[in-house]
Formats: sequence, structure tokens, C-alpha cells
Amino acid sequence: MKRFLILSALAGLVLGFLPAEVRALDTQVHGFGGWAYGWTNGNKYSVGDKHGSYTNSYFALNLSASPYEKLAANVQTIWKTSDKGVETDLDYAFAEWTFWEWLKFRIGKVKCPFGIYSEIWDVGTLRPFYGLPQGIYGTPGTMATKAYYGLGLTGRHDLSSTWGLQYDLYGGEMDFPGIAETDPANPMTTRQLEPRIKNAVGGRIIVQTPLDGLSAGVSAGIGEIKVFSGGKEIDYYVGDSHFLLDGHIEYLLDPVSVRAEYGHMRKLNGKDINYNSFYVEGAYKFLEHIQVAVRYDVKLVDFNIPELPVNVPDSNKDLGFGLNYWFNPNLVIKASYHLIKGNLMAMPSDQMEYITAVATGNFEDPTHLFVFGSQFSF
Amino acid sequence: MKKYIFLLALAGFILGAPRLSAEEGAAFRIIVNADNSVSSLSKDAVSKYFLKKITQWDGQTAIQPVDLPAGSSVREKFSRVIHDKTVSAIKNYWQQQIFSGRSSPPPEKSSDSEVIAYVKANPGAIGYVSGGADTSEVKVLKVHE
Repeated sequence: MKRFLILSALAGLVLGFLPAEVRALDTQVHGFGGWAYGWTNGNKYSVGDKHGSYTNSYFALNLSASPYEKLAANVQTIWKTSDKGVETDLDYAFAEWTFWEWLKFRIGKVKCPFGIYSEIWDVGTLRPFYGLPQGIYGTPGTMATKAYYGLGLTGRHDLSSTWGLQYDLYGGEMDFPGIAETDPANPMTTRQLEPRIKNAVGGRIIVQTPLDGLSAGVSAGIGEIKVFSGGKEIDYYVGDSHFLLDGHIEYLLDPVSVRAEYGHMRKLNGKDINYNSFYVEGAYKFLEHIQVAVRYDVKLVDFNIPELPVNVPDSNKDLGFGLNYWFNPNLVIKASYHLIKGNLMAMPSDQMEYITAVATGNFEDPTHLFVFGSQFSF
Repeated sequence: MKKYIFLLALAGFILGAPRLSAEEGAAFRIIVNADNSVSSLSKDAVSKYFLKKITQWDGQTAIQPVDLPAGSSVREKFSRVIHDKTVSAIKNYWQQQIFSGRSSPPPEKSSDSEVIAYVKANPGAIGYVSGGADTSEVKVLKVHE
């Protein structure tokens, strides 16, 4: 909360206290949001649960301003509803100074340049499915985060009239999405864990190819992982160091979109955990408004932790089919069906049921998820 | 009978194709401020200027592209001819740029006269207007492949 207020104040300083005639120069307001109903046959997974969840909605407001030719300020706030109520978060708030197009300096809470979707995490009008691929972007064991706190360099450079490079380098700290897990002190309850990567250094490079719409990129990062619960750092077995590697390829040329991404995350402390995830996602739009989509998303975890029960799930395989109706590029209705095998991410929402399933190895598998919703942007 | 249909279709194709190109050529004109020293640009350069992939005219003056609204037929033709993409695809490109905090789209003006006024008022501006617009107070650029 304190950090949120400080960053809000910084954004206010940049955006609010400039002279009116300067503020009027190239200030833009954008936003996006969505709502979805999700139903599963038993487990909780993505936006769905066995009761049918109606409370998945969100809205984000994005403000950017260029008070001077070389200075840009960007801020984005998001409100999300879930069965826990409304949560507010500052997605990012940063200032950018352009030395040249090939070298820009960023400081603040900055969008994290990682893989395909980190920078456009909740923007549903930029993807064919309501939810992101769970293997890389879902919890537990998410490989990506929306933003870093710190400073970075970014830029783009045309190698020729057809080849181009976009690159990022950053350093600072990153919050990863929180997860709930069984509280060892009281196994009948859960505790909320907040992983944080300290002293993180990372980067990404994307190559634009001569084939219109085709690009490929590599992202990597290292850092020290710390886990907090109830605001205090706890001694957690995921260890001290964090290594992340991601490769992706994207072909986006109306009416076709194809994306594939592989992510590897390793947490080391003598006892290591290896995460490997891969997805391929394709979509085709026809009759101007209708889009069909398919995605196969896999996540495999190799736990090398003797303390863990043997029945802790270690895989998630999600085969999804989608059908969308696009009113225009800013408003879409989406329906999808997902067949999920494995219980790494599809698990009972009730804590007692989860404990029983881990003890007996008797999870509900497979999981069927149906999602219906709408997403918009402006 | 089949031969006549085939010949009719062939004639339609031959006569129709150049007429379409001529219509596209006259459908819009690229304009810049009258003081701008540039008088011609390649299609690729115009595309990069409007997508803000090139941001300066000469290393000093910022390029200020200006668009017509998304529903405009002139913008649709401009987009297809210059970017070789639909307006929807260009809108998607800008969504990606906006929400990743990288760039923002050109301002949209609702009519030819507003685009002309913007270009007249801004030395670095570049815009496009319909073929029939009065461009006497701005400079019309020649566009080549």
C-alpha cells in the first residue's frame, strides 16, 4: 500500500503539477476490461469453479502523457472483482526519456518485458482466449509478472528495411502473483504467499523478420527469490536464486494469429524446482467478425523436495477451443471449452478436499472448463 | 455460351483492375505542412511515419501524423494502400503499443478540413485527406513504391 501511494504520488507529480499548457500536449486516456462466467465439473481452474462463477470482472484505466518531446509518463490502474471482493492495483507508473529511438530510459514501476503477454497481461482484445495460457502466466508457479520496480533501457533499431530489433534491459525488484497454500502450522487452513524477486536483472530481445507479421524473441532473468506471508519474510523451501528463460514466436497477420512460447524457470537452494511450460495457440477470423481458436498449453514441474507429499500434482495440460464474435477490434464476446488433465493448477477449491486428495492421490481428473465472457478496450 | 461467359469475365477482370487502381490513387492524398522541404516519399516511409517507427523528419523536427476516424472510407483505403493492412489490424497494432506503454496512436480528426487545419498548424505534421479535398494551403506529397 505504501509503495502504491508513493508511485501514485510520483505519477501525480509528473502528470498533475505540470503547467496546464504543457499538460495539454498529447495526453491520452485508454482503458480495457472484461467479465466472464466460468464453470467446471469440480475443480477450481482459471475463472471457473463447480458452482459456476459469475464474479470475474476487471477494468483498467491507462493514462499517458508526453509533456515534452522526449518525456513520456505512463500510468495504469486496475480494479478486479472476484469471490474475495474488489482488489485495486497499480499495474505500472513510469517515466520514459527518449535519447534516441534506439535508446530510451525508463524508471518507476515499469511493464515487465517478458515473453508475449507480460506487457499486455489483462488486455483481452489482444488475444483469442479470455484467459492467458496458464502454464507460463497462471499460478501456482507463474513464470511471468506484469511489472518491475526499478530502471531499464529499451529501444528499437531497424537492421534493414525489413529486419528490425526491439530490446530491453532492466534491473530492480518484481512482485509475482500471490498464491494460497496449506499453512504448515495449521493444515486445515491456507496462508497467502507473496513471492518477490529481489535484485532482479533481466532482458528481452525481439527480432522482426522480413515476413510481415512474423517475430521471435528471447527473454531471460535472474534474481534472489524471497517469499512473504502476512507482510513478513518467511523461510520457504523454494530457495535463494531464481533463473528464468523464455523463447517465443509470433505470427500476427489478419485474419491469422499463431503464437508459441516456451518457458523454463528454476528455483535453486540445494532442493530445486524446475518448471517447464509450452503452449501453441492459433486463431483464424472469418466473415469479418467470427474467430475460431485452439490452444494446447502444458506445464510440468519437477519437484526435488523430499518434504513434499508424493501425491502433490506436478502437471497441467490444457486443450482449449474457442469461438469469438468481434463487434470491432475493441469489443469481443468469447466462449471457450477447455479439457484439463493433471491437477497442478486445477484443484479442489475446498481446503479439506485438497488435503484429502493429496493424502490419497485421488484428485478429480480430468477437469472440464467452460468460459463465456466479453472483453473490451478503448 | 460458356465461352461468352469466360470472355465476359476476362474483359471484366482486365477492365476492372486498372479502374480500381485509379480509384485508389485518387481516393486520398498525403499532405504535409507547406514549409516542409520534403516533396515525395516512398510508401514504406509513409507507413513508418504513421506507425511512429520513424519519428523525426531530419533528426530535429518531430513527425506528427494525424489520422481520420476508424470508420472513414478514406482511412480504410489509406490503410490498405499504404500499410497493406486493414484498419482493424492497425487498431490492433496501436492497442499493443498503448497497453505495453510503448507508444500512442496519432490523433484522429473527424474531417478533411480538420486534418488540413492540423497539418497547417504543425510544421512536422503529416496527414491524408480525400482526393477531392481543398489542399491549397498545404503541400501534397508524391508517393512512390
